[in-house]
Amino acid sequence: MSTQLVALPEFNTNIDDLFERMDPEPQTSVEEQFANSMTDIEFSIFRHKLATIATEGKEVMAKLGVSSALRSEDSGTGIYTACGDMSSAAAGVYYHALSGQLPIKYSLSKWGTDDSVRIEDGDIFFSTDPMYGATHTPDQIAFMPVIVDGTLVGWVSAVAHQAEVGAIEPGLSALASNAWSDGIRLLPQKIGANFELREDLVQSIGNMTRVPDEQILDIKARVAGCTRMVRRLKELATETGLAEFVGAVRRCVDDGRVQVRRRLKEFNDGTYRCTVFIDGVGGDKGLQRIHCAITKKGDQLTVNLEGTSPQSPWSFNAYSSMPVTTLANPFFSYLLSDVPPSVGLLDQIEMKIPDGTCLSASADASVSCSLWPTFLLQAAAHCCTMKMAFDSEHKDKLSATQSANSVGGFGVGVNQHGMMAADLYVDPVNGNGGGARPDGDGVDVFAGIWGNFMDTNDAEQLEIRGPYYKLYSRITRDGGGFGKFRGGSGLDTAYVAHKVPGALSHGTMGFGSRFPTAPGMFGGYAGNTTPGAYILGSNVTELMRAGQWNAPASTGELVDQHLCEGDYKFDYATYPAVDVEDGDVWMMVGAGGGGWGDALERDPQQVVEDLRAGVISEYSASEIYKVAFDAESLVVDAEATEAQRAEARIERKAAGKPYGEFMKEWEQKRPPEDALKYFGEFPGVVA
Amino acid sequence: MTDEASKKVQVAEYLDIDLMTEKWHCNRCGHKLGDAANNYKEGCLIRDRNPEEIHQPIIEGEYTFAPDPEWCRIVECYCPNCGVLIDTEYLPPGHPLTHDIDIDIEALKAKNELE
Repeated sequence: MSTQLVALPEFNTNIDDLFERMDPEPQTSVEEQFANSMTDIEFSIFRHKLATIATEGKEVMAKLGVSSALRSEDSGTGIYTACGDMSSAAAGVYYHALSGQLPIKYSLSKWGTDDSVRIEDGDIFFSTDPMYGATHTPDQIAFMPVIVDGTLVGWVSAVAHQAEVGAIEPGLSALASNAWSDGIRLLPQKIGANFELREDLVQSIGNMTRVPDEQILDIKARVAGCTRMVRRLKELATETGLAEFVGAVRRCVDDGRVQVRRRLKEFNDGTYRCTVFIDGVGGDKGLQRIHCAITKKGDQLTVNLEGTSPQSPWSFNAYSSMPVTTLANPFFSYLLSDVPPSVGLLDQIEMKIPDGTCLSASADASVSCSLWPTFLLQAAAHCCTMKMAFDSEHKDKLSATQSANSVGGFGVGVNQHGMMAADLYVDPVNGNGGGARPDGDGVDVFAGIWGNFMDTNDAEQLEIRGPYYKLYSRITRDGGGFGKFRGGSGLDTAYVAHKVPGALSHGTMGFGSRFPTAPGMFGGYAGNTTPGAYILGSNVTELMRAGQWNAPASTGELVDQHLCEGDYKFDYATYPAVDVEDGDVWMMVGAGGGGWGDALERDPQQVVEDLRAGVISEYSASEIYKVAFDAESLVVDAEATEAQRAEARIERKAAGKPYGEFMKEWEQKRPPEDALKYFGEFPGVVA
Repeated sequence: MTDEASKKVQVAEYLDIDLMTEKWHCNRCGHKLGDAANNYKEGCLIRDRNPEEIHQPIIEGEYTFAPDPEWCRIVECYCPNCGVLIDTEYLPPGHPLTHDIDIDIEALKAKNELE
């Protein structure tokens, strides 16, 4: 007996179709008929059960997986309607779950009617194709149908980032210059049936990477997460009744649509704009602009990206399905953080993206580092939506943006146990500082911009798995954007290669070395910039053995005072993979969130508390915050502080120029030509 | 957030809009900053700052741990009366300033029941 499926239109990969597939499908007759078969209380309990099931699936995946990113919540699980619309999710990273819609809808339209494939109970599907949901090839997705008594009643997915995917470089490939350089790209496809994986296919996928064992184990972890969710959902569907289950799963989506419309009406109509800049493109450096104009009218939002720089010849590009999913974090984690996540919350968004930008790249473009421009878009969209929501009853949900940039690293090679291993050192990336809030500082070492629930790596686990040890972990000094409330600071950390048995390839991923990426809000400053930094042939381990190593308070102190011998190198945050040897040190400075408000309004006592904690420098306390204090006791001199601040305001008025006079001089200026190689027309036109 | 005496609505940390006159005002001192239909920055004092004055370099060279002043400037907008820092923008030199808050005044009036 074949499964009763819903019929979806043929799947195209043009921009408009990709957008439309992120929208909820029209209600089916069963969904419509049984939409309100549960009372409000019954539905609330049902929806909570879905969230619990999604969380259980995510935890199963994390417990069984091996990749550090998978275990540190660069992951997500989703539960979908029979048509593939996300009705519940657990994060990790919400857009991992959200983007699961594309491979599910692709499979329904493509394989559901293909007798050589079909979709049956117990089938296991997998995809790594960025065109169909995987945001880039490492964000691999397993997904399965939920079929009860021959009827498709829903889908589940489990997504997590894989450390090594067989690209032209180990780990992520900044140097990739076309789609065929990005590593394995698997169309949504069936890799198992009857709840069993096809071992030949799984082994083949592993064989496409430098570290097959990890790839294979992590596929199985994702599938285990899916399998657990399928089992739970079948139990739930049997308990509620199939039609009632289908109606309630769909109701999650439609309730989201109601909630977002209600919320949007509370915000002021208008257009809110933010322009941010990324200072590299992958294989080269140069500025690219991400421009975001969000127009809100009634209960509708239009996101216009006109003015965004062209597609680059390297890897800092994204396909057009990405931009809408990146709005998941500002919406799900901030403006609508009190509403259960579903795709319905994004239903009111119309996207306008010109063809050929770095956020709407052609199918043959490399998108290996697709996240970088989309992180910038997320920062820009975050700023726009927070300004939109300022004059509302939801101020408690606002913040400046957390940083988009950072320096993460990866190592691929033979570990101390003689095994090929790959790992991401995601601590500084997952430990970026949070944005400042209207009534408080951002959280130090918070999360990556793409997911508020991510964790930093467990240091001991990393040391067990790789031939290196952690030298230090600190809160980055002066990392958070200064302001009345400061942005949270990121994690400042370093690793030392130790007992490397053979070749260990180390590289980094990041940006924001010349241009910060976490704009402040309302006079707050941006978070810090983050270059790449490493020391070749250091004597750190020898100093430790001799008891002569004094751990630095920061990477800044290490490099400024040359606390160990070695060849100190400074580079862009993404530098090409290098082979490391014992004693080599790589330092990774996390980035801070944006500040909120005028720094001269910051409570002087909070300033000296930050100074005492080492989170800011004396320079910042004196020159940015203009606080007068005793250098030894750190006791604030309130009167002198007020006098310094009054003087600073007078200085501002003397240094500032009227708008017209300022613009006359400003418009004559221009960045150096090497900064504009990938920019497009400067300054060009923005929405 | 409406101040009934002056019909001002606070729409940003340091910005009010007077619904009666449709003007921007500094939220801290009440100074008038120009027509609310235009960019409030047109009523501010503007300053081009070297980012290294705010974000201290740690080392010399191409990558200093601070923004590159040739690629990136900080544009600060002050209230001409009280000197409060209303906005900061990090822009390449010469890049147009952003009209970041462009509120539909008629809709704002309607929301606050002034029509």
